[in-house]
Amino acid sequence: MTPSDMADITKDTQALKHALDEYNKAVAAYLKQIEIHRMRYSIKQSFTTPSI
Amino acid sequence: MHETTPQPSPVEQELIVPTNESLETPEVLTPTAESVETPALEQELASIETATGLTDSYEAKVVQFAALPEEEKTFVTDEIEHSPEGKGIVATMKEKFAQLVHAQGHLHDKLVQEHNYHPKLVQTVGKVGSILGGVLGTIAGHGFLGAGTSVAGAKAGGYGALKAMEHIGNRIPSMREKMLNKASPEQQEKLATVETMHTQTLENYEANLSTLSALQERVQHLSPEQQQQVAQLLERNIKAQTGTEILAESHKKHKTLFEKFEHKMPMLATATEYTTHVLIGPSLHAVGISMDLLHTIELWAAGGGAETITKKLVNSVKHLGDIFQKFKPKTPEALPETTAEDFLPKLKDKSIAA
Repeated sequence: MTPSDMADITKDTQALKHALDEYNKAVAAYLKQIEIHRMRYSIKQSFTTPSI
Repeated sequence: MHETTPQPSPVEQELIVPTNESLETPEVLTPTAESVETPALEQELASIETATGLTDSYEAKVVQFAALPEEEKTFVTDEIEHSPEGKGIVATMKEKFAQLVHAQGHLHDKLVQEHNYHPKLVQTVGKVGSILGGVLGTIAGHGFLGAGTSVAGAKAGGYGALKAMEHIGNRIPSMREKMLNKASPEQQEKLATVETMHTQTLENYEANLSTLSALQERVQHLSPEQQQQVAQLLERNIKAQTGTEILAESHKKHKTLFEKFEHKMPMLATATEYTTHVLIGPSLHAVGISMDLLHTIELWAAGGGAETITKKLVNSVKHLGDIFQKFKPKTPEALPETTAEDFLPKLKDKSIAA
């Protein structure tokens, strides 16, 4: 690998890292949505489940 | 490389197929000074390693979610799919997923060029690639378990997501039943036959993967010197070489089939398309397993310095060329009945394999 190739590969690796970080952020937001709606589901259930 | 071992040790006598002039001498990549990464690259690789760890933890949460009762999952996914905020988040996730696919593919393409060979980078890029084909890839491509949107998302998610969707789809009885109900009696009969054949093939693949994983685990506990020795023996073992090629070729053939399928029938709009989808489902699974197998060997080989095998594996996933012209429907017989013993060195010597 020439120094130029290495610089090129390093740049692409940085881009990959950036893309992975962004993707992780998006997935984290999605998981947060899951948690929110699970909480809503739990509350909904507490109202619909007949008390003993 | 063969000439460096004129008198094999007892261990090597068991592991190496004797040199034969008819055997093609493996092409060996020349190690270069640049194989030692620069500080900047080293830093990026370490960062990616950390980021993939985070991704793994997210995937674990998704798996936990998948285990929830159907009613709760349906409520959650419906709410996400129908709320403006949820829609926006899913759209962003798809966009970021596409960018990650592009970045990973771009770097991967460069690494398949011989002069760019870099074992540690191959490992890192391969790990990111496995994320793309996993559960998180499915989420990005389709929205989690949303059968209605999953079909439309097949094209957006690409091959990896389509494969992962099939994994999940097979676990959702309603989705499978829906597809089966659209099939004609003849198609259902054909499906039953094919699925039976696939089941046996998949059992073989899974057994191979299990054997490989166990061997990999054992090798990981060896000293660095012993690991290097195993990698070098693997490099010189003709069964390991040819077995790897068979696996790679099988993977290539099936990947071609599914690429064709994805472009030809992205929407699964008719009974025939649904049936075809069901028919190739097990093959998608097989490809997933063979990818796992290849990836396992790749990590093993790259980590141990078995450069010839690593290079072959990297090249095996490079092929995508004129896939449409070469398409022919494949049946399960196309899958080779390769066993782990066929392509692994026999690590029988206790000094190595204990």
